[in-house]
Amino acid sequence: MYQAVVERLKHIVDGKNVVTALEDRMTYAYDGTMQTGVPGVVVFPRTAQQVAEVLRLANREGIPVYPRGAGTGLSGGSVPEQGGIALVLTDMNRILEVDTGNLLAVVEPGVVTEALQQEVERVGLFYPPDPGSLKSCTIGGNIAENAGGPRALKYGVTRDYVLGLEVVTPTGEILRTGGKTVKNVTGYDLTRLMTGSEGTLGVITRAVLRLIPRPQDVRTAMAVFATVEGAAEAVAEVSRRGILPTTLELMDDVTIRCVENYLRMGLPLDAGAILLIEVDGFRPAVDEAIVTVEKVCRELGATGVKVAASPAEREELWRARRAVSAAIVQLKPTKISEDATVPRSRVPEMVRRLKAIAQKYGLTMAIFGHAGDGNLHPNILADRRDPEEMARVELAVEELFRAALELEGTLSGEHGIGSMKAPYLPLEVGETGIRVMRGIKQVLDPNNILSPGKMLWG
Amino acid sequence: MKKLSELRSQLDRCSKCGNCQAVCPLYLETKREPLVARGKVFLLDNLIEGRVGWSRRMEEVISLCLLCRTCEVNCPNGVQVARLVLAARAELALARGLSIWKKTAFHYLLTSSGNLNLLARLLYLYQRSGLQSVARKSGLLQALPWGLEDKERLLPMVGRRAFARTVPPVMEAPGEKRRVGYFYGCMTNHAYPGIGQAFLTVMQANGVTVVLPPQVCCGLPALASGDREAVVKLAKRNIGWFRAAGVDRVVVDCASCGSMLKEYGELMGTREAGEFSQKVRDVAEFLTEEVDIRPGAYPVEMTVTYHDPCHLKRYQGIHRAPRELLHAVPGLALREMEGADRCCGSAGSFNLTHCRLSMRVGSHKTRNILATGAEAVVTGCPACRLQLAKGLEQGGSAVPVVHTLEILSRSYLGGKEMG
Repeated sequence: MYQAVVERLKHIVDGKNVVTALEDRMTYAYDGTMQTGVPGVVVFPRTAQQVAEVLRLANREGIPVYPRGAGTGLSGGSVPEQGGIALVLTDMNRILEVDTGNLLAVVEPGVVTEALQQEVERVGLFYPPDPGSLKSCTIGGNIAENAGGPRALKYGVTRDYVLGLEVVTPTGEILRTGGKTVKNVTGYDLTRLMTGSEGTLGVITRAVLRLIPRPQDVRTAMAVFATVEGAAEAVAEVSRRGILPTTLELMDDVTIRCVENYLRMGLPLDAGAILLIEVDGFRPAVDEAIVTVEKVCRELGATGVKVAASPAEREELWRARRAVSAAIVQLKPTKISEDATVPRSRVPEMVRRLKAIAQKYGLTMAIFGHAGDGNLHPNILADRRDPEEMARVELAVEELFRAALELEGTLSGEHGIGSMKAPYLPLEVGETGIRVMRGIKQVLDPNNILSPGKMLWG
Repeated sequence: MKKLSELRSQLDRCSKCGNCQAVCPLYLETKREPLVARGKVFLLDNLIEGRVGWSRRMEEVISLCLLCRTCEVNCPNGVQVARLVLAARAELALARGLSIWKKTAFHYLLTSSGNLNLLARLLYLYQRSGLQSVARKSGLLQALPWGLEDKERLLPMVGRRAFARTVPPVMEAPGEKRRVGYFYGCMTNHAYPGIGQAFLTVMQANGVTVVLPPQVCCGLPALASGDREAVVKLAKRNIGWFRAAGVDRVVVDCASCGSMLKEYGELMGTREAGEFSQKVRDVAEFLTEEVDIRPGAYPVEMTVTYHDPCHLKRYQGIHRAPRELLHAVPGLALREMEGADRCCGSAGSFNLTHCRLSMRVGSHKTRNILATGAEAVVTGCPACRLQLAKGLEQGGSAVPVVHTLEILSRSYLGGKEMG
């Protein structure tokens, strides 16, 4: 990085918030994937004005800028693959407003998702999106990636809770989109455009988030099935009976065996699938709903159903699901986690195809995920130090994407395209899709300085 | 103990998920990635691959860890972060050498109880002769470099005579049921002799004869600084003395020393060291599991809160035992604080090398303690005690910090002020 640029940056954000030592820069070279790229300089802005000045400078000088929050993404979206500036927004972490009258919160991008949830729950409100990394990840990153989570089945994903944004464009202008109302049809929906734009169209510096009243209670059940088909049939039947569960988490046979070997908690080793089902709402309603859920599971051949009678028992049921990550890396150290998603009636077929792909390439694959919304997480377990195996992984991943598309699904349900899935984007959106998206990018970022290499330009 | 390159499988396990950010006391304070576990793991990986070397900055980054192991407990992949950091510090000590201060301390001061006694004596004179107040008032401490003013405040108030010099080598218990060796540690010996007295009171009351063999520093300060040679030197002496004393239990009242003694076996890899480590018990562990403990008859009418030392909860898995002991004391009420097991920030000499950051970490503890309204904080580690007391003092609070043993001891003796 040119010394003159570093000096300018120090002028904009104060010297101690510009970091240039190699050892420090290296720790901003990664996210939750295996992608890496060392930035030339790391900058920690505190205001939208500072972000705008940094972007104006970068735009003028043609320096790549990679905005990021906690760096927990799963698509390589924040990895500075072309060097340049890592723009870290974690110091902008104030919750500016929690408005119980209008059911909304105004926050800066660096607020940790769980911190926001705890804050609004104190006043009886609820911010539902719950990505797996919610204890670490930030709202800015959640919006940029349009993060999901297990509760998406009932409550939707991040975009369903973004009412308005303040965004700094790649040319350094401050854009305000949406507002504080649930209804707003004024002009193009730029809020939705920015939500999920993966840091390629602008840097989010403030967000107005929609909140809802906090559900009174939760009930949890765990059901064991001989086959994935049996579990899928139960999922469908539960909603036919008029129940919309909060979560429907599925674990396949490989996952079950891994978890049991790891925890020895008595999971049946011959099971084909385990469903973790949760309903929330008013107490009498959930008491009734969980009884129906249990009945449906039994009618459809569940070999065992457990309903948690206390918070401690609920924790026990969740213990298996929470241990999945730790359990599967016991097999092999490197975990390649995908999130290809299909319409939920195609889940059994997708699971069959995934298993066939794993077998074809001689790979170990554990499948778990959100059966209720068709968002599966096939995890391939490999060793990143074995190039031959990693080559097979790459082939398997491509085939897995094609399978999802053939089943009318999508490449990514919640992780985003980033750099990892960029080569496959045309498969899903087609030439026209790419042309339209590139046109939008061109208007906002004529010099392609913001997150270059991500999503569209792979 | 393994070298860094032998711990490669540990580095490979890290998936960079960032869960460590949510719990690392240093990351929560600074929001800077080099301070969190995955940042260090990534740097160490690059170090092994030769993409970075042992620079000054690298040294500083590796020093910025409390070794509290909170990240390990929350790591989905079970990466042993503390082991990695210790291995890195050992390699660093070889590559760049230890500071002359640390070398002197580990190889001369701590290896001989006589030398440490002498230092404590000098410190005692400094603190009580009026020299300390002159130094503080004169502005001399501010004028000197190394942030001496902050560090000077962290020095413990030392006693006039070391604890070990005030007691006979064997304290026979009437109607002896057990016989144990007592490892009292440097902090009890020089700064908190009251803990040692309480230890003896509790053991006497429960029919346990206490043998006090000669002993030196457990070696943890040297281990944390990467000086394994010094640890081995210290360990050999301690092992020899306790073997000569012929005891089948080595009971410790310092969480930090306890965790170190329990690791001699793995560290040295000898049968002798392994057998020694097998004999080590923390005092709370010993009292709840191996003695049919009878609490004293005197009620201790007060409300206390308990702080879990990292070296007790996460290194030795002990957190129920001290609470059980406290619950058994008549009249005593235990009110849990939020984050009872959050690191206090002391972390051995971390509070000297990174004084301000350490006190910032500690400030959360102070707040949580005060929020309980407890009349005293109880803990099982003299090093935490020093840090907790400084934090409370800075927060303008007079709440005393005491060892679990001191509460128990009061139930046998009655009355008397604590703190």
